[in-house]
Amino acid sequence: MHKLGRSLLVGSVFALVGACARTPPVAMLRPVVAKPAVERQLSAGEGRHLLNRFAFGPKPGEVEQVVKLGAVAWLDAQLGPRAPDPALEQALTPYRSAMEAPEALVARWLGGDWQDGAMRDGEIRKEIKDRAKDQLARIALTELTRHIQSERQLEEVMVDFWTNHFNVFGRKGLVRIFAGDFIERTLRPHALGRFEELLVATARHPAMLLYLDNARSRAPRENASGEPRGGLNENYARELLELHTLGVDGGYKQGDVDALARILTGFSVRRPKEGGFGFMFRPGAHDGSEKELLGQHFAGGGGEEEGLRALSLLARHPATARHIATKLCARFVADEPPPACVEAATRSYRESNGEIARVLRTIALHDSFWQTSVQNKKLKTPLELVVSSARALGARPDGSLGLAKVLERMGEPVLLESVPTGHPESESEWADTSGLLSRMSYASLLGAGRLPGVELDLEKVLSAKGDELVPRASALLLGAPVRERTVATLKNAVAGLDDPEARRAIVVALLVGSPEYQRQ
Amino acid sequence: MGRRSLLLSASSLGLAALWPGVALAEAPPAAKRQRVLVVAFLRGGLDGLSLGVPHGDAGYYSARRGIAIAAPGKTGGAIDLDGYFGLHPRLAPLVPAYRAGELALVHAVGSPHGTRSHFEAQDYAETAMPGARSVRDGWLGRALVSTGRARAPLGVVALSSKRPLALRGNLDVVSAKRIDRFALRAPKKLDERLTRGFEALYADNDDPVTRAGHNALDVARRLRDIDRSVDASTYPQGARPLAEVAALIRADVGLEVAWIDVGGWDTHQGQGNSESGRLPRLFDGLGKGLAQFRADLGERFADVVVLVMTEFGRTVAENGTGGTDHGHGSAMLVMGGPVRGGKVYGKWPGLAEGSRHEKRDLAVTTDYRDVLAELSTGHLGAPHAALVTPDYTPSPLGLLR
Repeated sequence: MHKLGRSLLVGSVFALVGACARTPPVAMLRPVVAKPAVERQLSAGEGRHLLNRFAFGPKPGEVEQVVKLGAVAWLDAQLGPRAPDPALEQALTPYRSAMEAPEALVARWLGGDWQDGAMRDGEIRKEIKDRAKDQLARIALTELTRHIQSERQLEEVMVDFWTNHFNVFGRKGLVRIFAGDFIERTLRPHALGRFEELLVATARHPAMLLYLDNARSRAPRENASGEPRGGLNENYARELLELHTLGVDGGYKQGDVDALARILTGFSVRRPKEGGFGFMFRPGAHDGSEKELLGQHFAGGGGEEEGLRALSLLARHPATARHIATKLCARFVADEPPPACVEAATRSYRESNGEIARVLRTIALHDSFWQTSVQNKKLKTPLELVVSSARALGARPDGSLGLAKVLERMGEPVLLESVPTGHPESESEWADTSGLLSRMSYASLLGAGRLPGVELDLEKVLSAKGDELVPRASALLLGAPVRERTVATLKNAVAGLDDPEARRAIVVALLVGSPEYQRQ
Repeated sequence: MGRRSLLLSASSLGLAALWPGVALAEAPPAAKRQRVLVVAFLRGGLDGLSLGVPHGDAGYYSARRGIAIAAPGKTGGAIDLDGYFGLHPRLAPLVPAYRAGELALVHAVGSPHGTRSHFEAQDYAETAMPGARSVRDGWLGRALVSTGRARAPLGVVALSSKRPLALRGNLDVVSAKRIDRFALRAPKKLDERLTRGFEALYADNDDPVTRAGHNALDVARRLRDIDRSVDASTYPQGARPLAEVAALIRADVGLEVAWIDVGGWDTHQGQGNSESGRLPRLFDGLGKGLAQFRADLGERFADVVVLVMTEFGRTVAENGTGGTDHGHGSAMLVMGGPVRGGKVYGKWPGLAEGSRHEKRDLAVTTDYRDVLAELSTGHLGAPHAALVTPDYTPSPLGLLR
């Protein structure tokens, strides 16, 4: 569609040129018909830019592959069907329990006891707390391993995006046992799919319902002596409007929060004694009264269907289209997203009824993405720094849980942001003294091969000796060209040092910790 | 509108430019008797009705059957302050400061904006410009810049993994979860080469990233040498940041402002009353920590003000899960030598349903900007309140001596 539009334009310009008796030099017309990057051969810098944003950065040799393939073909492959990846599955083996179903997990931890109803939920919570200490780290390593090794890079980037968009806090009560399932079986399968399906899946997931307290929210009612018991908890309803769908400026009122909270009463979690963990709609908790949400009338008595209708209404709302489009343009293009990108992405969302793949394609092929003014400008988050440097250097998690702690120390632990906004995206949130110091520390330990939890053979990717080391390492990590000052600093830092291992360690550490490498 | 945009652009250009020469001066040697402001921000929405218990208001006990703090004199009862309000019993360690006139409670205080979103309300409390969404600097940042003073590299410290919005602006801030571990982690035999290499790479200081890196290396060098005579193990786990602030003050590094983030106050369920539950645990750490902080500072406490604040209060009524939901008005603590304490400040709106904000929350009768502006001008030396709260003319409460 996009491509067709372009070639029609080019054709009509040539027709115009042919029709003129005195043809102006074609060169004069070039600015009008200059091909966008997506249709011509990409430069190496542009190939790197595409991989920096729509993947977690290039692996050695990958820039050249993308240049050869072209942006459109690369994107098509990324958005196409999933191929089996036995090497990745093998690498995930040590962390397999992160993907185990909650029931299997608890059965293994607690033995058969928990099923017979002898243990109360409160006791289960305490038992699990003790045994689940490493569970979040296993989930983190599952995600990190996939981010680093998977060929489905755009899916990985979007899983990270949705993990923050639909943030849950892994250390809140039973969320621990549902968090892996939430990422792997809820966010991942829908990461490139339809937003409405993703939204409904999160709204029916125990991790979300427990994290934002909806599981225990119920219609206010009175007991026999007229005292109120049970009650409404509007935490989830509010974040659903503010963060997940319409956005804080999306035009809803306190009355809408209240109505949505009532509509969602009953969306809850099935307990072990009720037949195993899972989603459960509790009719007894549901508020049967009439409600009015965003000008739509809900007659009451609709039970679970009311919630599904509300979620559908929210997913299709124009404010949601704009909110998601804005966040995606901020993620893929610039912290202050170009208005033209937001417009195009919003339109794409509305036309496709929230097909995420379509919106991503629109952004990737949009001119604003290819402007030199946005390339190498966006500050990497700590997660992006860790994953991109691991990819560039061929580093891999070593089967231990060490890398989860590394990420935690850098300020972006997986599933451990307690506020519903998730980890932030923008430079102003991350460009800070402590953050920069932890990045330099990370780089120093990585270069020296002392980073806990990582397997790295620097000699394999960087066999260059003598004077060749600095230019080769710079090209590997930064591409070209590299600042004069940086090259001089690197040379200086290894001057008079013979030990090849120490030389490699220093050059890699300084490059990964350099100001340039913090950006993508 | 015109006034706000003028002031905003002035602050975004860096108000220091209005006092040329002064701001560009070399940092002074660490001055003794530096005035210090410590802000402890309780994230999540503190239930002000549990901090300052309105035991004289019958509406309090009828709205909270399970989680109210009993009246003074009863089992687990509040500690009476003035016959109407009481402190939560787990804040007993703060009573000596109150009796000595060094601790004040400000009640029914908060934002004029009605948002019940954590992050929006926190942003407003930190910009002190409620309702203005696009403000990019904070009240403390503006206050510090407006003094035009040069300050030591460790002059402004945030014990927080990220620089809080309140401290954004054209000034340098050291932020770290633990200041005592602020050092480059590198293998010993490479340490010196790497440190010098990074110092060269980050020498330029010309954008937010290089500047942050530059400051990080500079501060790490300085922190290697400071003296630490405060025993952090005497502080409760959650109050360790106060021990680090006390150490910095005693080490005379020129500390002027310290920011502490304290999480966990979003008590939707299991809030508890006086003995068990989330709030009693949190108050326990806060009370013991602040009391130890005061003790460790000794006579230096005469120059220190501690402000304890939050983004909003919680519903007057208990919810269905033994907690409270996001509300409106809350309470603050202001403690320190310069404080006119021993008093509860503010006008009490009452808890009857008709007196509540939107029939559900404690109403706000004192704008939190009154307190922020008063501490900025009266304690930090900001020349005009308008530089701190650009779209509001504050009325001082008379909190300072």
